Amino acid sequence: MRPGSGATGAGPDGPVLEVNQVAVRYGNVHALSPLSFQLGKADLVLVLGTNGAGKTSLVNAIAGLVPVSQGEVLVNGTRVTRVPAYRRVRRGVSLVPEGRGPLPGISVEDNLILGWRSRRRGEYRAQRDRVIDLFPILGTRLAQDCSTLSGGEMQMLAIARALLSDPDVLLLDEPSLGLAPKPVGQVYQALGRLAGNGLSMIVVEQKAVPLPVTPALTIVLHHGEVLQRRENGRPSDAELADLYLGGGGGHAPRPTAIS
Amino acid sequence: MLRDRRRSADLVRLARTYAGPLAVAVVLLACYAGNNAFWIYNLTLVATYAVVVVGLNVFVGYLGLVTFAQTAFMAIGGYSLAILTVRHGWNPWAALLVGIALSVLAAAAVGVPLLRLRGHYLTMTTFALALGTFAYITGATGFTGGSVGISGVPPLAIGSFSLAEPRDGFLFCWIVVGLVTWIGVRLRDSHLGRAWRTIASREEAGTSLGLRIQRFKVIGFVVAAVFGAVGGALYVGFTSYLSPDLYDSAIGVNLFVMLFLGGRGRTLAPIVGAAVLILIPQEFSSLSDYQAILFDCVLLFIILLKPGGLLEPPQWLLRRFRDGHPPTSGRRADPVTAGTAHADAPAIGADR
Repeated sequence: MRPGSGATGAGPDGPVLEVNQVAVRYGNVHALSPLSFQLGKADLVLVLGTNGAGKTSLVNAIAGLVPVSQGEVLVNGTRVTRVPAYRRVRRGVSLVPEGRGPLPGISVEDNLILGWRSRRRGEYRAQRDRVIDLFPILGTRLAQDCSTLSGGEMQMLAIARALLSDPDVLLLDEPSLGLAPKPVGQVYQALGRLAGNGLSMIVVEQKAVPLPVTPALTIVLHHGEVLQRRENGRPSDAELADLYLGGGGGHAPRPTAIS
Repeated sequence: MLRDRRRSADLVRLARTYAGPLAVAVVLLACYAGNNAFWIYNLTLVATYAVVVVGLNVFVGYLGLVTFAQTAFMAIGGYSLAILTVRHGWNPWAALLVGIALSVLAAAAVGVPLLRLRGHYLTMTTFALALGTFAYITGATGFTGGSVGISGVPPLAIGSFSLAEPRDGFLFCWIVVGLVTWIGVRLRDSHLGRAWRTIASREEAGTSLGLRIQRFKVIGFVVAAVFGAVGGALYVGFTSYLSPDLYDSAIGVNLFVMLFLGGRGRTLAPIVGAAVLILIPQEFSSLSDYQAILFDCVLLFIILLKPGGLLEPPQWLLRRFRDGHPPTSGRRADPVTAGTAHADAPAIGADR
């Protein structure tokens, strides 16, 4: 949203986010095997996978909600691996958590103020008007309790709230979860506009979604392992089905034993 | 037509905001004017407990956590007042301030490690804190007077206006209730309150928003403790006597019941809950042998049949409100009508 990402360590053209050999484990369970990628300015990385693939662990590790068991996370060239979650927001990492979660008793406006207070970049009203421009429906709902919103509106609010901190990287954990096709289309249209404005994003999804921009990188995860990486593109629905169901046989011929 | 609807919605909102406090004020004024010793005395006791429960409402109602440790902070307020005035001849106001300061320190010191715990673990440790405090004040006879307690505590007074005078005490304690209730509402609507309510409904959403969850929890615990200490000191200042029984862990459970009776998170819940729990046993004191059983049965039924508390408007009223007066945008959303409000809001039809 903001021109010039204010990079500290790296130059202005350096990656906004670097994930170096990041792995996550819960006790003895490996949720995510070491994974590396970089996110450039205005890039979109799409992470696909079924339940338990490690997608949420990945974005939560980047946001600081779960500790990494190894590896480093760098934001604008600065290492944030040991930085607590609330400070990562101030460094420019904003997560839209899975299931968005209604906050009963809290109005739409209060939600937005909460998002803005986390970083206070710029005037609140100007920031708010910018997200209302993106999601006009929220402008008519400001005084409403957010638990009265429909699923699509709630997802828009969750994204808007995250945007009010004026992030450099937006992490979206299954923004299409439980939504009808129409609101999914609206949400992704807005994400396309954000990408056009230069925001870097990581989008986690289970299935193919109407992404209006081509992802710079698509990572398909399965049981915490990378099943496929594809630069500048993503697998088709058929390929994806094959990947999920065939357990990794779809993208390359398996080496066969030579007799 | 629309303007009429909006005006009636505004009226409903006004009524909802002020009818409760107004009703409470009328009852209290009638009582003050009537000057019946029984009611003045008992309603003053209600006031002291209401102050403590307002604190509990911050922690339980807004922050969504469970604590049974309020009695520990009541004890800090009460014993600070009693020990400093009776043994060391302090001015009661200075002793009250020391009690508040000590409750802040204690709550922060205990809260920082304690609030890292979640769910049942937090509940159990706060219960342990209440039990430990009770055991200490009963056992430390040299310092606290043990189970005999301390009597002859001088009242808080401003000139001739003194807590020892029943009517003055009544007035003073209820002014304090009004004050802490107002502070509670202001806190709820502040950034602090927004953060608390976010933590209550979805902690990880708060974390991803950049909230320092742990710090907000500790602040909530400290606020609850301060109100607990003030309520505890008021009680002792009014009755001029204290003993460990006042801080029995069973009282901690009762405080909780007071809050749930009224409806946690509701502004007037502490007043209504404290009134019911203190006044009803007084009225039925002839049944003292069965009182506890009867009382528990009543509570059980209320919790089963009206989990939202006595102050929750009945469903038929909510339905009527929804049908007759659609909540319009441009005013603060109300959690009570949350589930039903959107069905009639005029702005929605277009995009749904």
